[in-house]
Amino acid sequence: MQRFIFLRVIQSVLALLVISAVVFALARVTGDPVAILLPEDASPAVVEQVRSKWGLDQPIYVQYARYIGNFVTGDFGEAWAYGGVPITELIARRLPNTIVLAGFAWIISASIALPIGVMVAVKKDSAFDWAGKVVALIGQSAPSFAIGLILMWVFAVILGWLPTSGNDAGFKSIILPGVALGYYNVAAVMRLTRSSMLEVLDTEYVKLARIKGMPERKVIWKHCFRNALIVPFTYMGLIGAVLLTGSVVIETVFVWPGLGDLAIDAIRNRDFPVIQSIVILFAAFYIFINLAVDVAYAYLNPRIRY
Amino acid sequence: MIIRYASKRNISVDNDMDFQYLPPYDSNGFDRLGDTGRRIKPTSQAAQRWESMSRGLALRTGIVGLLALAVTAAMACGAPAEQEPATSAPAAAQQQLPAATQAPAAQAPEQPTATTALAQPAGMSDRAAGGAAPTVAPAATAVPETTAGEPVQADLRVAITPPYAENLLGWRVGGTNQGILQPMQEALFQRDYQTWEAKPMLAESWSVSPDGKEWTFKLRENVPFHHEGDTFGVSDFVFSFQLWSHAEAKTGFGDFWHQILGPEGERQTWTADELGTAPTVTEVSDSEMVWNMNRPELWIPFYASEATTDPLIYSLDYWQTSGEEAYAASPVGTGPWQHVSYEQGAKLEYERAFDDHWRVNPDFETLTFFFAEEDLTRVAMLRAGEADIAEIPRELQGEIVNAGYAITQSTLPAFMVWIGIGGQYLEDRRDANDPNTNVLVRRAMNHAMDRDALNEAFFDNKMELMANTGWHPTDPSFDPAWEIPAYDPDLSRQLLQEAGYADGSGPSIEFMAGKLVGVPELTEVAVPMISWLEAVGFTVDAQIGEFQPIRTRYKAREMNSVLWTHRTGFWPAGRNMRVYFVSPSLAGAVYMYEDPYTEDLFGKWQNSVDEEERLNLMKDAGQYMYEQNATIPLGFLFAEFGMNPNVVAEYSVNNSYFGGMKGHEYTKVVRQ
Repeated sequence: MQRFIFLRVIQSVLALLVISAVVFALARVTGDPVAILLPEDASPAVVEQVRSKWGLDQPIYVQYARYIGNFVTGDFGEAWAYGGVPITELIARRLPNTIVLAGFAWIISASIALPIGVMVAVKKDSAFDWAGKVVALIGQSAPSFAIGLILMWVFAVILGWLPTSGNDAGFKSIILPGVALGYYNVAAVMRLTRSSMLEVLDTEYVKLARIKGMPERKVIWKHCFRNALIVPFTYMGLIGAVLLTGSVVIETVFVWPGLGDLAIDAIRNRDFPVIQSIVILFAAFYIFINLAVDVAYAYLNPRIRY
Repeated sequence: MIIRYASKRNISVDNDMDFQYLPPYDSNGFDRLGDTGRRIKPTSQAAQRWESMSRGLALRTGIVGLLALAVTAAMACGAPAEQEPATSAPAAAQQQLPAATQAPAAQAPEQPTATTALAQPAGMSDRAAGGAAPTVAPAATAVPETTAGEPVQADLRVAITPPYAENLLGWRVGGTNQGILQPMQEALFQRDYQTWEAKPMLAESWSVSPDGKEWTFKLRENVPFHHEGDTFGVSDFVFSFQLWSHAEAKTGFGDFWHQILGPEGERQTWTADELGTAPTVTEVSDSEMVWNMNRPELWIPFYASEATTDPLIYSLDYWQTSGEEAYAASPVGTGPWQHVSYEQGAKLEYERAFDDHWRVNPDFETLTFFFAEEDLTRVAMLRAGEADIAEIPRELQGEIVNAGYAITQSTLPAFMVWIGIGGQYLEDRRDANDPNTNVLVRRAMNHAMDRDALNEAFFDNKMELMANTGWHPTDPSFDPAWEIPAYDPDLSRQLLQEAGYADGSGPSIEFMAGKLVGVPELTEVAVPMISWLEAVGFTVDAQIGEFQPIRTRYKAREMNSVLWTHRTGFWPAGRNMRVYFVSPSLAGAVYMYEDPYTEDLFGKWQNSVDEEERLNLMKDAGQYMYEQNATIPLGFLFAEFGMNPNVVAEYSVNNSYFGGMKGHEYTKVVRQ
């Protein structure tokens, strides 16, 4: 097990390095940030001055080495588009909002998908099963921003129950973006739960429990559901990372001041240090959660040996 | 040929058109519709390229369309919950008004007192010499009533697109990003948004020496900052100038301030001891100063006005006692609004600063800007009653008006849009084989464009068409004899033949179009223009997408054989000349047109202190560029905002890029 964990950590570090190089290169392909961030009538002298201050006049490998060096020491640098504000400060300000939104979306996903997944498995091929499939299909096929805008118009504009956007109305603020973000994953989790439940429902010990006269509710929720959870549980771990990193569009639509919204601004402004920092952070989240799920999975499932 | 515009993206051509003058596809580059309206695949290269490039956009548009259908269906179920009419009778009456469009509000009633203003620099707007009336008048209007009584609401909430860069120290982000700070900070001068003339703000009166180098200012006395015991004085101006021209400042006019008042050499940083004093500024008293400038300059009332966004006044005392970090976290100014809170990327809150501000006391107690990137989010905020004023794109304005909201328009244009003709460089970058350097080709381009059709299809006829890029009729150097180039494809073909291009084998050019804030239609208008160019014989390589690659190329002076879409704010001709139409040697910035003759005129204009001579020089430059067809002028666009007539009785949008951010101290609340 220790060897497995060691190898997975090494793989994770290598993956981060590769991602950092890709992001670094792609960000620079998109164009010159000086052309965006300085006023149109900035003089060539000012342009050169800024380019020099930001290190853009250095060879590309020097820029990369400096970026990696700073990153290792925890110095993400300054945000160009925010007048030199430290990026760690920007991230520290925005990250809690993203975590809260992703966490709520995760709860939404789980609380909708798991019960429906169980119910459609129990009532296989019934009208309930088909209805569940439709719900899943809509969640999977409709883009989250489209779902978000529809929710916004219905619940904020027409009904007036919830705020359209922002994060200053307490719990009410998070409902629409959380549902819009979480609904996308309902389909996958629901179908995984369904197939896992069908497999468990067909096992001998379940048949035995029913023959012995155990109440159906107990059979399903105590004996089947817990055993069927391992596959959706693994996936739910992964979508935690997806939700953290995938809130970019939803945060923009709902003016939710999180990392995703910051990422969009940074991309628009070609603010390389911010783009790089956020993408690396997202990648680190993703890799860490994958790692944690792998380790937990190996620990929980005794049939897995490395 | 008769072209019928069914909608912005659905343009059909009558069957009886003369195909002799048409390309295989319709002359707008869009789908050609037959009798049945059946879609026919575009056959032109440009149209096919556009179709390919715009697939993603079309997908998004389709989704938005579906959304609109869904929303429309949902709305049929009930009225907006938050849009119940206000309790007052007038407000209730307004709610019933269909498609109300508010008038460009009258000039704010509380104006600064008259001064001993001396210099009205040549080249600045002057209505007396302003020339022709706008080609297109602002939309019809219905003026709402402001009744006496209690305000229906204490808070004014404005939904805007976020600035490109956010920092509450404006000089660190520069340009239009400083718009969100203008409720809080003031400048020496302000613009009159009816006449575009310079008016006093913190400078009470001023005079200039005959050589244009010595300026004397009497500053307004006892103007307090939002910082206890701190009033505006000469040292605050000097400190502010040091920030505008600081080595790390991103201000667009930082170089200008450094050149006229700064020390020799490169822009610099200052030590704490150096702040607040400068050898070029003599402090006669705390409220009187004399500038001994490094070079003559008559346009100080323009450069030192809030219209240019940069010259906002900072408090030296607050900086010294609190430090930069505290200043950035809780900034102060002398404006009628003071900072309350700020959440980056989300909102910025102000409150009324004084009971008796020297200039104006706002009608509302608080002012909050909400930063919403998505157009539909801002529309939703307005309709849900979470915003009282919102930036609404032109294509969604109809829906807002139909729902009982008003659209208010700036008093003067906010944007100027045109097509740059690249490659017109001085000898060092000029390519003799570049077709763009041939005036006949440029004339052919101009006559290939159907501006009326563009205006109708994309701008709802709200664009004031322009005859000569950079010159608005309110500019004294504007010539009313200038004519908007007529749409005449036959003439275009003839001109190309005269230029040496045989029929049907015209020049090969690139056409770049990119989206810019305020005029998102720029990429869309490119499509028919490309088709019109191809229709008269040009071979066009279209590149439609982001603006950033365009900027990178023109900054590098690599625009040979390229046409590109461009927009700027509403500026005097002299400023437009400097930024767009001169070479790097004259501190140009875009290098769209470089010609030894205009370079000479502009050089003389810059150094002249004779107002009449300056006016004539600018007229000559304008006339020459008009004759040379230096660009493909399109027109001027007004800033437009949606507003809730139940809350906002009057909002005077100024002409700047950031109309939604400025002037809210003059915004009037509905009273009941």
